Amino acid sequence: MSDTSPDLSKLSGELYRQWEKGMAQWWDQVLESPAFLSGMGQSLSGQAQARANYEQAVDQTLEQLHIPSRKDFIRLTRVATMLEDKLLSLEDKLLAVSDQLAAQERETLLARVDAAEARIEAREQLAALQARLDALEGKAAPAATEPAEQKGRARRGKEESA
Amino acid sequence: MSTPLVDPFAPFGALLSGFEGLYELERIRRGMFVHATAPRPDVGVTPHVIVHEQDKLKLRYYAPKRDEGLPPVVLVPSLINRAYILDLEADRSMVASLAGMNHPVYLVDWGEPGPEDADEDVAYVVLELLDRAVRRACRHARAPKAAVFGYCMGGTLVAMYAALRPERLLGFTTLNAPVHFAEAGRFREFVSPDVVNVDEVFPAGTLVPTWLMKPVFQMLDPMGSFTKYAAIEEAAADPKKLSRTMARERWLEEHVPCASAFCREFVRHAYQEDALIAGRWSLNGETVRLEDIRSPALIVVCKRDFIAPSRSGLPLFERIQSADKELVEPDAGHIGVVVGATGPRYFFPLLDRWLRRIAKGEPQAPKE
Repeated sequence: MSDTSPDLSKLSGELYRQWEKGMAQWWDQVLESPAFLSGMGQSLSGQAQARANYEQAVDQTLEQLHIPSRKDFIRLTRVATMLEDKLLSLEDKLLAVSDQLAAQERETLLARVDAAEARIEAREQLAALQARLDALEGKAAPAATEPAEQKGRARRGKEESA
Repeated sequence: MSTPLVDPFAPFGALLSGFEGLYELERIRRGMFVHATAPRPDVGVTPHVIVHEQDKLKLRYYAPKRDEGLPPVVLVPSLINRAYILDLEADRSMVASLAGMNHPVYLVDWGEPGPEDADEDVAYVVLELLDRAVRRACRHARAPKAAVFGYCMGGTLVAMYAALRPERLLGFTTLNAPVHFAEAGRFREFVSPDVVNVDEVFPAGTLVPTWLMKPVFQMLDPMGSFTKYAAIEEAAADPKKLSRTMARERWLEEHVPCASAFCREFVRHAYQEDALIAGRWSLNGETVRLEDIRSPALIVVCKRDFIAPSRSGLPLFERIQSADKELVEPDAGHIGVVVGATGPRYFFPLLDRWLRRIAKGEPQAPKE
């Protein structure tokens, strides 16, 4: 028994692998066969049709009982979806306007900063000019007093000699 | 997460352990038991705030770890899956990783449509919902443009968006996004015009229920749907591994119903007519031409993807006219690259580098 059991084990393993391979090939053949594919297509169509018929029948029954049907709820939710889409479109437009405004605001702010900087620069230039003017005036004032002093000194000299 | 219930049939399984083949079947049975009883972990737990809502859509904002002044990144998942795929586990979450790399992240959560949304078509989704979500993300981040990432069907929608509304686009990335649907593998055979009459299968005014979608996705890899239980059984021994597996299972189980108008249009134009690659798909009268795309692009297609095979995603790279475009083909599967170890190890750092490059306006590195 101990001599044969390993062989049996291997044999069963080999059988399993053969079975698996065979099944894979069989599935391939089945799934590619026109008969299976056409059957599958018909089955899908049949299921879809049956589902559509069932839903229609339920809707009709509910309508006859004056109970809101699935169709009514769908209509309502579609209205809600449409409203949401419209709101989102409006929101898009608002966001675009808000972006444009923000961009304009930025541009305006930059222009104001530029203008303020220009004014500061002009003021500084003015101050510099003023300083230069003051300096020039400062130089001009001693020059104007100097000849008067010279005249005074000359006059005093004449008086002393006389 | 608490541990799964004790398997009452486990002692009988031990009897089969001497036979390799029978033991494999026993493992699958045990995996099924674990799958049925193990609690599902919490997902989408990265802290965030909702900055915009429209209809069922929610725009979730994940603040960057440090403000580096990087442009916003808008993540767009598929419409038929839960958005938390991009935030499945704390240590492998795409949103948390990107926010940790200092990107302001915005996740588009499409939400679950109600019967009132049954008439919402592709144009409404791309030109109304997605466009406004991107604009609101830019506004919230005080940035003129955003980088947009699309995963799977989300990537297809992002490609359409990039073609029609590039004004707010700094660049875009698609991951496993099909655009050439003639190469879309087995799924295309399931929905070919001979098999599916879209007007009958997706009647107006209805939602496509998840119980209709789930078997179709399972049939893409029927044996994989069976043998995965052996992997679940193996994971059961390690609570962390089990939690990871169950998080992924939770995502696979929790599909989202889809508006019939969207499905009708998508299946007809994409899978049945291959109209996107042919430039014959119009949204509200605007024709989507992939050739019109000029934004910087990073196209990622995984080599082992059987849901959106790489052949269906590659033509996007070939068609777009962007001067700055990159193609990456990792050796990964459809979801492994965003929820597996490949994400934090390879894909998220790759995306980070690309996002930083386009944010700085640096030119693409020359090809070797």
